[in-house]
Amino acid sequence: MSANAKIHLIGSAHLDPIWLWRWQEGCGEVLQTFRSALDRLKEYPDFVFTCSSAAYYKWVEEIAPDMFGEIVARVKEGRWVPVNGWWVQPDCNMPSGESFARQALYSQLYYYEKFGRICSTGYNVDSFGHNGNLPQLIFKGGMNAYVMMRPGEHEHPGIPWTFLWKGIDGTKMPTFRIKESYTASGQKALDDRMAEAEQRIAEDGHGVMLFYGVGNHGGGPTRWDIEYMQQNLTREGCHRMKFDSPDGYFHSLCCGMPDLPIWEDDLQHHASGCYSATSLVKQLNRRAENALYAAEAFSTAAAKTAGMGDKTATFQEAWHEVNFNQFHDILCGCSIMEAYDDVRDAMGHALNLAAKTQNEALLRMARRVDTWVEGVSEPYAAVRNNDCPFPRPILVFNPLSFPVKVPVRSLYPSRTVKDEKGNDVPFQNVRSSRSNDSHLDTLFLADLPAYGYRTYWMELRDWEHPVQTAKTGVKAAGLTMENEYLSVTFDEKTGFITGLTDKTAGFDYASPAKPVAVPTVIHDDKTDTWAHNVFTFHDVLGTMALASIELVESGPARAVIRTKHTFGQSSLTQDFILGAEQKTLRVKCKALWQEPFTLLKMSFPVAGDNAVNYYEIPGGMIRRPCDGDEEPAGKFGAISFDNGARRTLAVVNDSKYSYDCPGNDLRLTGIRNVIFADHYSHRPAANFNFCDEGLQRFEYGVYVADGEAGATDVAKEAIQFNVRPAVVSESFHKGMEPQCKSLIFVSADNVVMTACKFCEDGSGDTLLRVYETSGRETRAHIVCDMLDAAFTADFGPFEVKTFRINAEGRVTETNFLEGIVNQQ
Amino acid sequence: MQTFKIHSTLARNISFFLRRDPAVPKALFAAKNEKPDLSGVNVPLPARKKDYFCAVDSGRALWLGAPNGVTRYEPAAQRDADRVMYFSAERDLPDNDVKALYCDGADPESIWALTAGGVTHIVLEEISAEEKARRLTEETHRYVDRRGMVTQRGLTVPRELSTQVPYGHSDNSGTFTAGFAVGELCRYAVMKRERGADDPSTIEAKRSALRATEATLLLMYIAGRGNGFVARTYVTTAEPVPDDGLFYRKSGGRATCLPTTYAKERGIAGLVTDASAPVPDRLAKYYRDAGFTDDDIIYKGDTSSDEITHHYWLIYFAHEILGAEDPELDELLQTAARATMAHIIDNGYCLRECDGKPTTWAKWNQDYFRSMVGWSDACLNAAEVLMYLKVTMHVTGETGRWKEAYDALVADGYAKLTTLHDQRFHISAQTQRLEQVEELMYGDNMLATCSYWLLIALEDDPALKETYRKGYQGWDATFRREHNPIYDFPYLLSCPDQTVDTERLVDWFRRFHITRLNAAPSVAERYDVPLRLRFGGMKETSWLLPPDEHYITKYDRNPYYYEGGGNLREVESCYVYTCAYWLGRYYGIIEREGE
Repeated sequence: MSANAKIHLIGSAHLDPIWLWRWQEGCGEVLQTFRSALDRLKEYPDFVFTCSSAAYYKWVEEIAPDMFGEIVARVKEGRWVPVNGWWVQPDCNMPSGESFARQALYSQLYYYEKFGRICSTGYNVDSFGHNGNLPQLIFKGGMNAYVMMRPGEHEHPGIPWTFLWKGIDGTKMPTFRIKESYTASGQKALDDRMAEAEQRIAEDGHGVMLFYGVGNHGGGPTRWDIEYMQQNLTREGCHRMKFDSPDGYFHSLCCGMPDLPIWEDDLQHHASGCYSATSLVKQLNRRAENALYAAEAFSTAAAKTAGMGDKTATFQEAWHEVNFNQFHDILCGCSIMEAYDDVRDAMGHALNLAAKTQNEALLRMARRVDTWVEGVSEPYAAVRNNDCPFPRPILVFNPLSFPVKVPVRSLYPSRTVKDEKGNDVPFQNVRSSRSNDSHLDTLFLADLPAYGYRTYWMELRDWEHPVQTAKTGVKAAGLTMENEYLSVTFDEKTGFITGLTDKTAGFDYASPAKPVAVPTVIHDDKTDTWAHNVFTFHDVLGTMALASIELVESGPARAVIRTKHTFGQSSLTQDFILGAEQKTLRVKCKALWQEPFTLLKMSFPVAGDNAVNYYEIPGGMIRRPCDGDEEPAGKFGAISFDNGARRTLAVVNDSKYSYDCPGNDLRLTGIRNVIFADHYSHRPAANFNFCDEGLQRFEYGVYVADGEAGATDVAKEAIQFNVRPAVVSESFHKGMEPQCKSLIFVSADNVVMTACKFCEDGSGDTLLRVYETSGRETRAHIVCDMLDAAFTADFGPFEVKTFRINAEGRVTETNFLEGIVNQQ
Repeated sequence: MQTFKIHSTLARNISFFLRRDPAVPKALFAAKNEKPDLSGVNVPLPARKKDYFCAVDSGRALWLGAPNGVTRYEPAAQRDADRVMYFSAERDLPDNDVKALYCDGADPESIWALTAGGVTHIVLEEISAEEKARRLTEETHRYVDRRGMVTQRGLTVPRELSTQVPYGHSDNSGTFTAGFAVGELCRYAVMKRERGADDPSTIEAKRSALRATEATLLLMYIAGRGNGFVARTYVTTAEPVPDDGLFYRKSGGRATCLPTTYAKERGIAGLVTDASAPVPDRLAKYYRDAGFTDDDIIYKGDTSSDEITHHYWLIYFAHEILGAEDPELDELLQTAARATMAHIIDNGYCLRECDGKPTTWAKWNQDYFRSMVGWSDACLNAAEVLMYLKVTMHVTGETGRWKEAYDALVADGYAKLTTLHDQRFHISAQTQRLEQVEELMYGDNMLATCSYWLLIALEDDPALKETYRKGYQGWDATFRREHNPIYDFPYLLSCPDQTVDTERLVDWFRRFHITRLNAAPSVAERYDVPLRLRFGGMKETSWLLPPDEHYITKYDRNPYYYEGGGNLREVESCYVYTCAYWLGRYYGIIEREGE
């Protein structure tokens, strides 16, 4: 028996705000549970209650302020302990690194404001897996310990029970892994947990936590539970038990000076199907993250340079929606179908807020740019129409902290496109999505400065005037197209890519024997929505059959080959778009999916040895074996291998989160069409709804380069694929600003900005958040003329840094909490 | 293993003048200040662009004046680290209130800066890394050396090295002199290898190496207790005795504990202990030649594990480099190694003071390791004592009780303990709600380097060697913070599959300051250096400044210091540079220039 080890009793109530019910039910569940917990605290002076999720507290504050006052008093007394300084217990694989920063920012500041303290323990006991950058993301949100449960012992027996978790950046965090369950109520369950706790102490030699209380749909410890534990606080031959919180447990653990084992990997896998089920919510999450980044960055710039007001409250409102809908049972696609109607509304609200603020910001900035043209005596009324007799100014804004060169689309066709210096710009007129007037838009190659804008001048003149465009390396003939970097050839019988040549290296990633971009249908009727106990999806039903293939566009700005494939009652149309000077082959997909219990995977087999995978995770990337397991991932998945040299093929995406790689076949999971909220039910006869049934639109891209993934530009390509420039049609006016300007410049290619915002304290200070993308120690110079500030910073591998810049240009490196709270 | 060349290094030669000094060019006072156009500058500058109000062009770089000092901007600099340089008070300027700049056109770059407090002449010179080592060593020999010991010296007049006080006690005389000695031993070995034993530079290097080695070794004998007890340092009766720790006055074969504050607290003021063991003449000459007898010696006790570790580190190098050609010295090394090792073993793995109690910080036993303080120290201390045993076996050629002790410690879990440093330090910091870096003891880096390096080098058992490598790699993150060659070179030698950033190492040598005058720059006045607030409140810079722009550090200080001053009345030893440089040359990591 370990003399000083104790069993720390954690009274809690796991609350799913949405799962087999909608949020209104979840809100009621919170109110009822909190009332119950307060009553138990009154009845039992030694009882301690632990509860996560700032969103729940806010519900209570708004709906039952008296009850909230009682909670404040209990928190100050130290018997109600908020944990996990995040808005909810989110999925811990899919949200971006910035989303985790916002989870902490809004929640910890809320706790600090209401309770005078922040949470010091991270706590995601039900989340289905935990990415390898979580230690850093938790720590920079003001917390220094972690509680989790999944994967369970049967899913990953190698993970220790109490350990020092070392993240991809090197951050270490004491972590407690719950063995059996985060709920327990009634004698048998409690006896089992006590026996389990004794066993763990015997094995580990230090104290453990025992979680008790009714949970999932709320509840908390019952009177019987509390009294039963009181009776057993001291038992002959057993370790003492005490009512405590996770904070108290970790303090006690560390003071006991344990030699904890170190775990240097992520914590996977539990629900491998969750990262592809219900594409709708995944797409909304990614769209919202991308939109809020750009809108906030532009709004901050407009506030600093163009008189726009501080929109901090607007972005907080929008992020509350996004953070809430990152709850694990929501974002993982395993809630009931009706819940996703609510998700669509809430995320729509966030997206609309982003769109409105961005529009104001861009128009305010655009109006300050000098677009005056001699000879135009007054702002020309028809400037925005396609019969304007003058070149029309088009401003293209780049929200990213690095320069981009990418085709963009503007309303109406042109005969010439020039930059602000009068140079011809590659362009072509392409079909618009409307069917009246010209039917055409202008697609041109925009060359944009980092976090800034450039003005282009588009002129239609008359239709007889010959098109005057700069030349590029884009060529297309038959079923082959190429640009400066890539050559892509399709097979006329299958529509698959049989030639994918990196022209720089002279290496072909595809062949007729090993085609890539193969839409493959997988059988999936033996699992549930989560795919519990299933970690691979390899039961191939077949590949989709080609219905048609044609070259639909060929010009200096891009070439497009369109394929249409069918399988059963479903179809998939893909536009393979190769733009001028683009390293990524972009693929726009439209699927009409009607195959129940299936997955659609886009397959990219490569020929080579010593292959390993790399997947984007929040704020970084992780290396994985090519073992065929379904893996959660963010904006890209990649395979690096030997074939003459070290090569990398990556598949980037705009809204997907799941890949696998059996052998050397990297596969993006595009669709997973299973029953909503199906938890290994008996599936009684019913008209089930399927979570990916119907129209699906998404995009993926194919990027190849020599070198290991971390040494390539894959992270930047994936970011650029997701966050695209904004195009604003302008008129003629005088202004103080030049036609091309960069507002923030970051010197290192592998250091990327993820937030440019105002500080939440109303000081007017500006926050920049940047992170290292490739896993390399890096020094970066950051020049912000907009803020009259310029500074240098050293980054460790995948390190995220937050800089606070005051009105005098002084810079402080802080964390996600912006230097507002006193953490001690 | 990685190797690299250092083609040249920079020397900031700084001279201060009064305004009325005739050496000051009149053109400086006539200089017209025009605000420079910096709109095209896309790198951070120490001041805001709008704050620069004057500039001169040296032909190679633009020198800019601002209210926070002088900036040198060289857009075409070959090294990113050299693109922007900062010259500030008190190291490079008397104050930061720049009034005018003047370039006299001389080669190398020669700039005059007029500030509110006087005139500064800055000459930026390119010299070889070896020349920098030579100049630094000369400064140390002239102004820091105290009977062969090199630590630091006080100055009676600020900035004036020639006004050094004739005394200079340091708590860590053994540590710092050992570091200097190892560098000089390596210099001697390199000179001998490259130029031959009779070359004047080789002879001079040997003289310097012997002086530092013997001065350090003297501390292992000077207490005269006859039980291997090692002194921290010593002063003579001609020097003041600081009220700092335990001091013993030798007299007539006995030593009396002086009544310092700590001696009184410990209850041993006036305690008399044995001092009859003779000090070898070869070592005693360092005070006898200066006119002092054994009875004029006041030595410092309460010696720490830091001192012992550096002594054994030096014993290894002195034995390797000089042992064969100087048997008398080798015998002294072996005797010292045996005596102190026996003391440690016989006293239950601690250094025991004359009152029968352990010294404050020299404990390597399980009782200490189980204590609150010792728990996080245990991993390093375990590596240290294992290293002492390995070195003792190596230099004496004996096994016997040393081997038995070593095997017993391994069996007692000491080898495994060497692998737990990283996690124990993290947990220890967390109990105080600190980040691990806030808990770092910077002196530990050097101790770990000495210990793990020699352990790995001397261990023959593959499994144990691998265990020690694993333990060494537990220090990786700490070492990587600093990009310091003294940590990176032994790490490369011990873990050849690891890599270090050699470009940063070149920058380190290139930008090391040419003088060890302890003058601080104005870090907190810079706009290009964010203040990094650590979890527990520690203030650091957000990036590692080059050595000539951060505070003067030994291997026991945080180079990320954001605040804190230097001391214009102090000059430090150069061993931080010279030891790293000559180790690099000795092991071929730094390739010889011209090859």
